[in-house]
Amino acid sequence: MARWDLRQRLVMLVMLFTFALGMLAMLHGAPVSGASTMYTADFTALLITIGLLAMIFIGAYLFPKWIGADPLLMTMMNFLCSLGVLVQYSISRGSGLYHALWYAIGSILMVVVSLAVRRVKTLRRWWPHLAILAAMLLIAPLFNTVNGAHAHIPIQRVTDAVTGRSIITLSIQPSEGVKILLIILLADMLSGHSWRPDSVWAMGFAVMCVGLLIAEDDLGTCVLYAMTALLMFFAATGSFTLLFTGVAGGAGSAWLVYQNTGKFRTRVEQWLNPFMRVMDDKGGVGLKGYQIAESLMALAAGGVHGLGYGIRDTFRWVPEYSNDFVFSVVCSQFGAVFALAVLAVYVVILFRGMRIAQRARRRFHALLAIGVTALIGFQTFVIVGGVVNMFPLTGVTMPFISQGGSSMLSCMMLMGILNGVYACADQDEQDARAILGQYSAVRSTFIWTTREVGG
Amino acid sequence: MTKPVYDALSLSLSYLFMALGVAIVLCGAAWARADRRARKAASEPSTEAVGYLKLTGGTSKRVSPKQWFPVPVEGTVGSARACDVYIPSAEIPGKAGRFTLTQVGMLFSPVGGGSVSVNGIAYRVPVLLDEDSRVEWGSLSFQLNLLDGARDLAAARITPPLSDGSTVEEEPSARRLFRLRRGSPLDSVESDESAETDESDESDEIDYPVDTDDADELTESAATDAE
Repeated sequence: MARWDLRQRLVMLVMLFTFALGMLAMLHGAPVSGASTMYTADFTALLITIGLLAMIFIGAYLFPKWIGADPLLMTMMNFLCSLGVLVQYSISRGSGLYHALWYAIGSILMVVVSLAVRRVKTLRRWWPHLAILAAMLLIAPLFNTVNGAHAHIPIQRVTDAVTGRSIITLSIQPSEGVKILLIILLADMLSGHSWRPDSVWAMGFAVMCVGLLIAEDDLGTCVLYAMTALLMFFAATGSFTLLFTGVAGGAGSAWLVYQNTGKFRTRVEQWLNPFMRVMDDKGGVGLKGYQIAESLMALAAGGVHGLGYGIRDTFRWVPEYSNDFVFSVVCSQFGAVFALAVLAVYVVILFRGMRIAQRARRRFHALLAIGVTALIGFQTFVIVGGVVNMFPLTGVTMPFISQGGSSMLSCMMLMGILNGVYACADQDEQDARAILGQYSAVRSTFIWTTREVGG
Repeated sequence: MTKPVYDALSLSLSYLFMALGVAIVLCGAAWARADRRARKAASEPSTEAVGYLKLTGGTSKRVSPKQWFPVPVEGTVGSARACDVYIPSAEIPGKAGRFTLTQVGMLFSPVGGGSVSVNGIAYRVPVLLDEDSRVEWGSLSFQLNLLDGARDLAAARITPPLSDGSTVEEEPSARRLFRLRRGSPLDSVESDESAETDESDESDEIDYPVDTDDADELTESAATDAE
């Protein structure tokens, strides 16, 4: 009973948070034209809030019944998604609507993936096809440059009327989809009985993905792939030799990239001296680590309790505040205590993911859960560490909160995998209990039979 | 709404959000802990061993001579780590088979088209293992030892005669409950045709002979009779 009470309490708390934040978003609305000190009520925010509340309820009560999803995981994920949608809405109305749209599509995909995981037992015959698909998806962006990297495929471009420059308004990031393929393929390759030959294929596939990401200059995703693959190998083999070899290889590769890539060297210098004053191209004086410096100032401005939702003064100078630096926005609006609570929610999701991996009866499912958990954990760690200047900044998104359709969809699909593994583990536990019931029934029948015989 | 009013409201609500954030984390952590404890308590009995597989013949690199492998009520056996009875030997398939303790003894079902040799006879179909049955894979030979409770259950397979020499009919629902596909030497791999048919019939999943309602009904009837 205690479990159900806790569920009700948690769902109520998350719904209360979403409702309060949504009401604030509605009151904030948009400035009345010509009067910068007046706000009008925004009923679009009200509609979004109702939708988010419905999603929280469906995730906590209906998805567990329909697809066997984990209610705790769903509630925590919906809390982060609601926060993401409303924070994006505070940044710009279009951004919030865009995020809500991808959240809805991602929820449908999550259900589909969750059901698929319960049915798929092995993908051995599809290994070559999936590996080729992954390679093609990673090679495709090499021919396009977006934001200084070759990680995106532009879908829609507009020409700026003033400058005449071409601006990309919509693009997709194939590496977000390939990370799902990476986890599924590695889990399948490493779960077989003859893991030694299969692990060579797995290693080859992981190295290929990492190599292509280095070629794309997408170092953040490259680090994610490498760490996730390494952890999955360690989970599958239990070999410390392999782990240390992988870490040493990764460190060596990082050194080589540092020596030969100007972009990465610049990132490290910015990380070490973010407030160093340098001359810019136009002869002015700027900060060497402009992005990180602005981010740190936004964090400091938020203080313990934040400046309040919708207050834009503190983060407006932070570059990419809806993508890479969305954690700075959360800190400045809600404060350090709330930001730590958000990080703790990620930790709860990670612990839950590891617990699901422990409960999984099939090796394939266990490795899937480990891979998904590791990926979400590393991604959060890498971006938050970059934003607070713990280590060099890499351009990855914060799961469920950062703006970006590809990121949102991939995160939701990852959660679909976790929920599918959870459902399978639940089913196996129910089977085991049925057997246990049989054992008790057998014992009772035996007593009954011997009594009849004796009588 | 004017901007100063909104700013004051937003700032005051930031304390509420801070408190809610902390409460959500604490509540989520408490739920996760309670769930873990509840599942642990529920799953503990299923880990109980009802017998042992003892290595009696053959050698393997990672299996010690006379090593014992605990056998739970139901599970899988094989050389894959995921198996409930994990025997690290290359001579045993990754998933050699499934076993289930039934009224009539330990039922072993080979899976994946493989076979198992029981008391010198190769089977590709589910076979009942008695106390001291000899199970062989390759050169490795194991002996099954059931614990006291399980041995009693296996003994129930032979219905004792009544005083007038006749035998007691099994309780009908019990017979329906434990409808098993028993293996016999006639179903052994010597007959290729029958083996193929059996292979096609036999899937990885055993049709558990238990209907939960029947099991409850039986338990209740046994309790009534005991009174």
